[in-house]
Amino acid sequence: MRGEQPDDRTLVQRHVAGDAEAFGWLVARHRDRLWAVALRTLHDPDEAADALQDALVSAFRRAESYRGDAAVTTWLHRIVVNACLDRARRQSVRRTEPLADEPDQAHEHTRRAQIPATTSDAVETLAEQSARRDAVLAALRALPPEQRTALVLVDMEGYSVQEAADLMDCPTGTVKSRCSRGRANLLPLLGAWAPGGHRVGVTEPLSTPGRPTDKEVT
Amino acid sequence: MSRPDNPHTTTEQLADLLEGVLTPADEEAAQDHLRGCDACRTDYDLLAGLPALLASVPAPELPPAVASRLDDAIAAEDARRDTGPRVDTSAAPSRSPRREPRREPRRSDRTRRWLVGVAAAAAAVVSVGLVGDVWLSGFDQGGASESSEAGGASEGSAKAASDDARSPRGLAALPSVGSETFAADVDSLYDPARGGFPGTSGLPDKDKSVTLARGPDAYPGQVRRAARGCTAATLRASGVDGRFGPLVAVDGRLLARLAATGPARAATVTAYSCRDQEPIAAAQVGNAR
Repeated sequence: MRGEQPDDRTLVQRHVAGDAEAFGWLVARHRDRLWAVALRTLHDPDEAADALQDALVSAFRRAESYRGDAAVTTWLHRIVVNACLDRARRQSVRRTEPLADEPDQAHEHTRRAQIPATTSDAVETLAEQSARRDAVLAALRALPPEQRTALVLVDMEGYSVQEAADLMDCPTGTVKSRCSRGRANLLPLLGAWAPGGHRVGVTEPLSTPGRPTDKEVT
Repeated sequence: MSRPDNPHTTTEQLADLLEGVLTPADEEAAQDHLRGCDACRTDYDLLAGLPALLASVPAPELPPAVASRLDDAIAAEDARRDTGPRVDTSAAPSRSPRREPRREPRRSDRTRRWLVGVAAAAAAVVSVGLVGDVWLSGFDQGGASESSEAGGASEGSAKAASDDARSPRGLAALPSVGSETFAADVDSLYDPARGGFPGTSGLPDKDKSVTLARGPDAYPGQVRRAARGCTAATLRASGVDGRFGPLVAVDGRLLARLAATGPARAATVTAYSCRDQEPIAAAQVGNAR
């Protein structure tokens, strides 16, 4: 029978004390969620893996500086989020097409008006789920990194605004503003997929910026 | 709230309303507008549906390749920490060794080795200490499973070990070099296609049993798991001041990090069995040319 697993803080303490296993346990415990954040923030699996590895190695080396004022998982996520944001900003410099940070155009009464309604929303097929996922991910890609990260944390991963602010090292008001701007930017791209929206068949989801074939790797 | 040229609220205002970040006055104006405008009301409802839409996307699974890559990176970090309690450093006075410049393995194994090897060479120029990884092939791990290839290497190693026991001085004499020269030379000789340094293969009968490698790329996958099974050896170095990092075993080979302090000299590293203190394998660290 296995003994009870030590908690996160204990693992960090053991790691700092030289226990070669402790950090691996810690990572094994949290890496799935860290990966989701990294991949969704960066979209490119290679970039996400690089960012996650950099972040974990950094955490490994910086563990002495963990003061215990935040949960270990928050500390780890913060390092990962910052590594991802750094990379995402570089990505968005390389590409040049993301939406403006402060779009001020009056909204057109969205694209959904131009899109014929589907016959029925009652049953969603697997193909449709997959198309919806692709549409969401592609639309997120078009956002500036800060907005994207805020939405990934709050809307996708379910963190509270306060938690997201801790992870992104910014005030809660900034997180709210980024979420709000992000959703406003997503609406023309994803409105048809939102509950109550209308969309065409799965063979032709909304055209979205970025490479349409990019997918989240499962 | 409304503008003369556009009576509607903007999408941003609707989103701010949803998020609750409008001033009370703006919020009231927006609510007023929504009550009388179906189009904006519809957009507001769609915006309100976006969080649920985003949340409905299933979480991606961590690909096994990424998982093992993370394991490897952490194992390399573990091995890098200079805590080698089971390693005899009597022949290598313990001082505080310089840490190797830090680079993480990534990309494919082949590419990774090459890139990191180059990076290590470049970084070593500014490093004072000599840091070398020493592979000692064919060490008996006592029950650990070995591939047939590793088994073959074992035989070569046994021969090499007995040679070493009889004639530890039989290895080619290596010139003493400064650490910078050492690092640069070794890395420039590194042959990723062969997984070793051609410069070491000129040693008689040693190319099958001894491989020198260096840098974080020298830790292939499985280090973490394999390292648990093997600690039964003592390492001694001659010709160099420094100390060993933790000893780990991979696929029948032992890996230890030798961190030298001061001017680096070519060194001979010998592994001794913990059971009978017989030398079981040896490797040379240094410029073999």
